[in-house]
Amino acid sequence: MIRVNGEFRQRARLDKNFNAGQCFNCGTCTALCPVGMAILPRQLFRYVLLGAEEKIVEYSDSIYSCLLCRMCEENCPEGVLIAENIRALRRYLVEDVYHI
Amino acid sequence: MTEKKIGAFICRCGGNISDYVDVEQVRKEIAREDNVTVAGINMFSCSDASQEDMIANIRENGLDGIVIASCSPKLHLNTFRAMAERAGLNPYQYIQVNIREQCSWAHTHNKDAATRKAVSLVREGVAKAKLSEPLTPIELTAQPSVMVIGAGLAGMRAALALGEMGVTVYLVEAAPEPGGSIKGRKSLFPDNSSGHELVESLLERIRANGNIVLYTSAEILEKTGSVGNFTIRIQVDGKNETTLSVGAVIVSTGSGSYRPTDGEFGFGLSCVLTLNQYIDMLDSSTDTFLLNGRKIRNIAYIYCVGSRRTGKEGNRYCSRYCCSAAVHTAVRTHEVDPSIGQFHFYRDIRTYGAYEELYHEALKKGSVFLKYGLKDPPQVTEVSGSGLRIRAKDLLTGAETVELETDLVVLVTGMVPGENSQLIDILKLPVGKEGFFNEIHPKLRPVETVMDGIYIAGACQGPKTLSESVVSGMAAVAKSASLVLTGKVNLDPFVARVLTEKCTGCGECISSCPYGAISMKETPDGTVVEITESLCKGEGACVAICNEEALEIKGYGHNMIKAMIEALGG
Amino acid sequence: MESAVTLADMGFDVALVEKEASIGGKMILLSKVFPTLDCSSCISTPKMAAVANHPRITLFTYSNVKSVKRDAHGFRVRVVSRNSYVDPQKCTGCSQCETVCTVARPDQFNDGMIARRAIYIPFPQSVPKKAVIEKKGLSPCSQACPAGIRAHGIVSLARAGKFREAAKRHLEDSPFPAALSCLCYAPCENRCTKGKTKKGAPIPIKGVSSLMANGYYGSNDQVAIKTAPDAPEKRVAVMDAGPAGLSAAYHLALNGYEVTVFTKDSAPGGILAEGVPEAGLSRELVAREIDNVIGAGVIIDTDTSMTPEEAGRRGFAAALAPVPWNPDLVMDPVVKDGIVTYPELVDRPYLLAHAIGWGRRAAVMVQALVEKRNSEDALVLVPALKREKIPAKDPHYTVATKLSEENVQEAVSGCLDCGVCSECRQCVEVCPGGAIDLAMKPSTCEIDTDSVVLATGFRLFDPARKPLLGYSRYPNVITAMQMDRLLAPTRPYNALLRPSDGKIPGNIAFVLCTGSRDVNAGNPRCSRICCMYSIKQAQLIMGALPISEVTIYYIDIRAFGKGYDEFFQQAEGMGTHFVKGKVVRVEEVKDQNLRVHFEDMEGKGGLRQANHDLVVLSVGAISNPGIVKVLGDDRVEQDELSYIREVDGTVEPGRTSVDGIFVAGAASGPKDIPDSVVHAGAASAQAASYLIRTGALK
Repeated sequence: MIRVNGEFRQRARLDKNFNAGQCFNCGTCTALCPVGMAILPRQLFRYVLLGAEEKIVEYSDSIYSCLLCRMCEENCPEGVLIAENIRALRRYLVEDVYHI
Repeated sequence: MTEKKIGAFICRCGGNISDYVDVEQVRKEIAREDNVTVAGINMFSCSDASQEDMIANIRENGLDGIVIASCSPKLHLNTFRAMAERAGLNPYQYIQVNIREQCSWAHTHNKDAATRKAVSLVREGVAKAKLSEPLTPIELTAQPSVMVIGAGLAGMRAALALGEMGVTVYLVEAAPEPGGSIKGRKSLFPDNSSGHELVESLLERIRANGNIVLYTSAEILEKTGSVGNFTIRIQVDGKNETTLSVGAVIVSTGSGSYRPTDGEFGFGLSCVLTLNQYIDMLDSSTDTFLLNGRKIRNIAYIYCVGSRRTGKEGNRYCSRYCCSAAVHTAVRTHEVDPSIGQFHFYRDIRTYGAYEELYHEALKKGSVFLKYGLKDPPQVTEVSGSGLRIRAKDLLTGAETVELETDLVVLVTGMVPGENSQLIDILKLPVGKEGFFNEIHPKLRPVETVMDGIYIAGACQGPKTLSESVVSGMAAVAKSASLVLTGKVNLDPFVARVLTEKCTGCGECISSCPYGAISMKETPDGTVVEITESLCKGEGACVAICNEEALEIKGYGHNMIKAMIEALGG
Repeated sequence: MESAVTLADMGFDVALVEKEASIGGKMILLSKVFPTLDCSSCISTPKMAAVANHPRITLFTYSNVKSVKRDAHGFRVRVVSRNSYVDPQKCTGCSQCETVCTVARPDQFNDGMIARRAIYIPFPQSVPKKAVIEKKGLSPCSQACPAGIRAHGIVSLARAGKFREAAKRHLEDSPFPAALSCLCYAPCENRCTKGKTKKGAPIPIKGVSSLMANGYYGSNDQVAIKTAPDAPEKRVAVMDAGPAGLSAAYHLALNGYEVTVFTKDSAPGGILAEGVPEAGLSRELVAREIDNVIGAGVIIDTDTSMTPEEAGRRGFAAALAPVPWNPDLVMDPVVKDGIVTYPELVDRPYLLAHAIGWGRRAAVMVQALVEKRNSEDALVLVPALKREKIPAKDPHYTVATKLSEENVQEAVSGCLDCGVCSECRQCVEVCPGGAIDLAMKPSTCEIDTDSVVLATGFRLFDPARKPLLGYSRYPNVITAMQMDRLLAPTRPYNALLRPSDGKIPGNIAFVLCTGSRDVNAGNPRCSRICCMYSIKQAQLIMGALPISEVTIYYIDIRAFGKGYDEFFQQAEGMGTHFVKGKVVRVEEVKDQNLRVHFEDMEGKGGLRQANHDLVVLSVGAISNPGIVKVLGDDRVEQDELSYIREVDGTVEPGRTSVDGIFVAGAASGPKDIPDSVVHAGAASAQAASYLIRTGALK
């Protein structure tokens, strides 16, 4: 179960670089991703938008599996900057979760 | 009966008929019929050359009836009627026999039988021509005025358009003020126009136009008459009555708003509002946007409340405008207070066409959308002290259950038909199964009803956005204008006629007529019925019901039908 | 159509201009329409007939608006009727011409799925039902022929196996088919576009002609082309029996003249009289060819001398005399002192075609002289090639190919039909109304009007712009328009077939939002019609093929209009599968089936593939703004997607940024049929109001 948390994005300083709010859930990115994980990237971004912190940490492997190949980004019909968003998530993990 | 001189022309249709029917044989046999003066064959009856030939034939031989055996009347009935008229004949004495779609094309493998059938069909046509009578279209003069019922934006714009064309308009509104459902609105989608300003600017133009009379707090009491000449009695302020004569009526009474049942998605709890109620709240907020004195953290929108339901509750249909209205409201909310979290629980987002850009804006401004299925709708419960909680299965996150704490739940409800039972009765407005007014055909005649001269426009015909309502109002203007500007209404002459010598005055036919075209009449010879031709549609139920065969449709008289049947069989 | 009829009903005079040969737009091409599943033709043809028959509507079809200029009184609109080469007053739409035309073209009304002919009636319910000819001028081969022979026509007739007709056609232009096929240096083959393609060889036109001529002479069935002289004053004398002289005589005889050819030689033919054995042209064959000239009614007096003066004394109305051709001069037939002189070959038999051309031009000049007419128009048929184009030495453009009945089809099948219509004239011969005139000129009309309504509709997105979807690479990926055609009553095939192998599909996928809601496709907006038409097609397919599976892959299902959501439910009830997850890639698998890739969001999740045997791309709408540029200074404003902008979308529907110019229907933004029709009504009301307010007379 996910407890929706609308403030998460702001708290995690993900609101400026993270434009996955633009996503309208077509599934193009997931279908094109060469890594082929079910969670990448649409579902992952949903967890961010819903504020499901635990899920993001749970799937941190996936966040790092992204090749940043931009296959998804080139084809996203809403112009979501997917690679940048993944990198923003990586920053979040590094600074706010793992405190590296 | 004078001896008719009929010309019968069989068409080869370039082979389409003559390849499957022996047209020469048909011609020979028809030439032998009584009253057939000329029997000819055309390669293409519709061609200019053949038409000129036939006209020459008609003139030279003094023909007073003409039968063309060719293709379906759907194609060239009007062509040949016009040709008959050019030749000096009454266009309704031109008889078309279809020996293509109904003969040659249907029987491509049996020339003998097809030929015999063609002969029968043409004989039938000749029999009809023999008994045909000259008819004239029913011409009525139309009053150069229109009544527009309902002064919402659609009605106002329609009235203005007609007024600017020089037509007298009576704009009748039940409420004390015009403007309908948008008059108080501060910001309408898609371009944030102010409802109040829109109404005011139209009202100014209406007042400046000398052709338009606006009645408010008015009620329709009675209507008599028919297309081109309606007489309508109205009452203003509950006391003053006026009778108005108009050529046409445009009904633009708008719609109502669905009221959720108690408990439907938490409706009845405080802080559960319908979209309209929430927009009222936004419109009336001043500097700070507060709910019960507190800042709002989250708003949850639940879409399709009362719409797209398959069971007994709610309405079956989609209300078209609500997705766009809701996302636009979310954008407005963000502008008022960007810190509010907005979560939309939807089934499909129907921001069609350019409204899609409103959806983009809502997304950009932080709204989050979650999809629910009809079988598993969101549950709204009260959390004591801190607001509401929504629990739903988000189909976009693998049907994971999500829980949201929110201060406000907005139920996005749709349009429902307005309360108009009295008006429906008075005008005999046709109503569809959802309760909205019914157009004759959504594509061919989208603003016309089966009541000639009465048009419907705007949301009373079905849920629409504001601009769509105005468009439909303007389309009704176009149709009603063609009636009143030409000052004439032409109706087909195929209406019912009473053979008074046979009529016993029993009145059975009166209730059979769905258009109210039959009434009793006292004559020195007794009571008979009479037909109001402008209301009659030539439908024929009365003809069938009459035991005395005292009613027939002009152009399709009993004797004629009997003769046609005999000719067909013989 | 709706705007025109509505305005006409209000009492205004309306001119309706349509660029295609028939009105009806896209709607007439559809199968059934949502949500009622009315047959589209059945509800549009009455409207089309209403337009055609309305006393106040003047219909211009196959016409383009070239310019709209505002003047003191309103607008002056210049309408150019494209050249159809068919007289609509005489054409009855009988379709006989289509059955004999020898040139095939992709049918634009069937989205290229089948062929139509160069002369065609757009579709059975066309209004007006008149044929038009697609003709892009003269094909290069025909243009190159100095004799004015329509080489393309000969080739297209051969391609259709109509050799006798080809011979007959040739004989309308020249009396020497066999000689040309032996001698001519084939400028036609030199100009052949096929020959200029990479690895391409020109169509062996000479070889075709040879086969044609030999076949003609071999059969006993000779084409009768003799024409009796039709007037006693049309008596002409030709002073020489060389090829140009004989050609002049021949053409004059074909036009009803009584011609006598005088020659000092004992046998006619000039440089051809003895044959040209090294080119394979025997004396006997030459004699046979000269029989064509005699067969046309020409009298040849051998061993006789004649002068123009003597001819005049004998009562001939005109005389033609040869001048030996000089390669250093520019020579052409000339009229001087009542005598027509023409160049004649004294050597260089490879220039036979030029000789025939000179003779033909001389004949035209004689006719003009005798009948006192202008010869300019007729001379166009036979081009006078400039001097530099007449090669002084045989350039040997071709080696005549020996073709037989077996291999000729393959040899000519590559013809590109450059000018489209080949001028084989089969249509001209078969037309019962005599409606075809290949010399017709386009006409222009200037219309003075008070207002203009733009109802130019929309175009469909070309899915080749989304290469991942495989359109134009995989035959079994089609557009929804093609699917609608496959389902329509006037469908190209008698069943619902898939393109690659004609198999009846059993598992069909619809890809929604192809080219819509997609910034990469240049269209962020929703096209409004695709969800609904896909659901409609799904229902029709399941009705036609009850055991088929239909899957619709979507982002949102937008069934928003009256009765639309119920229609959607109906499709669900019929068993249509609705899958949320946009198809992003289509690839071809075994048997030319297709595999689609999507994220199965509501199902098992993650990337999923599914196999289908036919994929339909539900293409969206894009604007059709071509008309805007003809508005010149009164260019209406357009929005970011180039649709015509309504300046106040809420309260002023149909009004553009230019007074007096209105927009109706999908030209201002995609709309389904009911919305287009209502919008057209609104635009008509605006136009009417404008016309009345500005005092324009009705």
